[in-house]
Amino acid sequence: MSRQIAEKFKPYFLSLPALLVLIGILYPFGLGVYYSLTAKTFTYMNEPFIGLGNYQELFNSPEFWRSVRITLQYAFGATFVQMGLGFLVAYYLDKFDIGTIKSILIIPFMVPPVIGALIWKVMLRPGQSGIINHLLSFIRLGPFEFLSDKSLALPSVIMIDTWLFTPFVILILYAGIRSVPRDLIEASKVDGASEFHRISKIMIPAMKTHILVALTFRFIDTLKLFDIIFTATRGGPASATMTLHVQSYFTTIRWLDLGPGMAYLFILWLLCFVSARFLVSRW
Amino acid sequence: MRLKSKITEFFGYLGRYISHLLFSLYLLFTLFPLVWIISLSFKPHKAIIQQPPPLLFNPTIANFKAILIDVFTEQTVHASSRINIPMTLLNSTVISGFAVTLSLIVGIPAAYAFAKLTFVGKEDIAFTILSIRFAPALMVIVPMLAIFRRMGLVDTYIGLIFAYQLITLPMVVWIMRSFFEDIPDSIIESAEIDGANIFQKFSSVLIPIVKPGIGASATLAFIFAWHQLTFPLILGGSSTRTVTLGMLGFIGYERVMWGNMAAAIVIATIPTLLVAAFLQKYIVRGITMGAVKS
Repeated sequence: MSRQIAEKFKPYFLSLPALLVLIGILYPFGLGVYYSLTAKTFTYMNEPFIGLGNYQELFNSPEFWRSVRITLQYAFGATFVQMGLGFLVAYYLDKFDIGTIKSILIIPFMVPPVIGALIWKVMLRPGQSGIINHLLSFIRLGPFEFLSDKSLALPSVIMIDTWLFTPFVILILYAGIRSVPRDLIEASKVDGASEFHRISKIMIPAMKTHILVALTFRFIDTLKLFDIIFTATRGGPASATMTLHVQSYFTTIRWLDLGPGMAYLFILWLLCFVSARFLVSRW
Repeated sequence: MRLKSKITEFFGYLGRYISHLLFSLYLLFTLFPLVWIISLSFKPHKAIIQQPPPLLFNPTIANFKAILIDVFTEQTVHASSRINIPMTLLNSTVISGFAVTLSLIVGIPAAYAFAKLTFVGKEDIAFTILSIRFAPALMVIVPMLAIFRRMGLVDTYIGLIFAYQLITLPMVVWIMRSFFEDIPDSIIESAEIDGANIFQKFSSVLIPIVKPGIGASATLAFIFAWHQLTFPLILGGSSTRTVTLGMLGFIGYERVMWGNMAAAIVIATIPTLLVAAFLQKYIVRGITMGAVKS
């Protein structure tokens, strides 16, 4: 009898340490949700509960909607470019059977994002002192103010993100392509199907899980991206790269406005959570 | 007929050359920044500010000396003395190392339970741990800052090691879960028949089998912990400054020490590149947190 009880509690006993850490993470999370319903600041922690006041104010503020727009532009833009580029490179590696070169291609992914952004920030410096502008001058282009031009800043940080994280997509999609049964591909070659047909009708359906997994990680990580923008542009110029996550940093940590800042974060969290639930359930 | 096959052949060649060309461009895009930053780190200051940039220069290790042992020669320019790179490397190593260790200790038993046992709430708990991986970090660490301030944990190793669990714990739990799932039930049952208790079962049967998984999850968790910026930025301070935070210190000076910065970048990136070499076989399973087994 006691043995049966012991067996029943074994799973809880084994996961107890992890559960304690989980509670240590969920408690501040819950506190954060509560803060978003108050007028608290880091200097006045006694400010009262104001219900959905912060959210009402956000929904009426153009800055909030601008941040939502920039966050979505960044996430959809970067994910689309990286998935496309990642697939093309993975397909190329498989077609010419040079998968071993992956160990070189993967290097940017092993570089800390802060450092990747820093390298590019130096390379993209405006004027002739920036190496990219210097190189572009040979083909009579530029000079561009990549990170300080309002319309170029967002594409520039997406490019930095692409440099850092396309290797991640390549690794997963290459594994996906390799998992497609070879005889399936050979059979379609014998049937005389075109390469495009082979990719779209046989390969992609067969590696659906790999594509969805890569898409999930890239989409959500770009939604909540912080490091690259914080290093490269700090949300500037003129808030042209002010995503929700970066905006929430300035609101809470710089301006100490805990209530509105946590409202920003809760909305971003909701966006990430719903996307994750939706995408993960399709794996 | 012959003409048609000639044309298809021509387009086949053309397509092949275009794809080689495009891939070369991608390779250039990937490698140029790395090669460039490494070359910058060996350049004397004079060559760095020279316009246009010289193709050839006398390589120097002055930049590395400057950031590692604080020796400033004429070839480098003062100012980065406030950024103590060796100290930030030590902080990153201690925080990332202990964060991974803690995650392994609490995460491995839980991963086993999620993989091999049935209990009420299992999938909900497992998904909650996974969803931490998908949550914006500030949602947890900003309120955590309010708590840490009351508890005196701001700018301490213990506080940061706990906060880093947001990154390392989901990775360890989900990667290890996938490795435990691979173990046939018969092996676990035969250990039970032998009368082994749970601790003996772990130490003599399970752990040896999942050793590669432990290596892979520990390595990847270490890499991602090393990459972290937000945790030390918000919960850290001058005595726990990590290497990523130290790097930010190079921005904002009137005269940026390009050479010193490049040397610091090279040094700060080497540890993750070195440990990544151990990953090879399990990297895809690791970065997808066990979702893709290859």
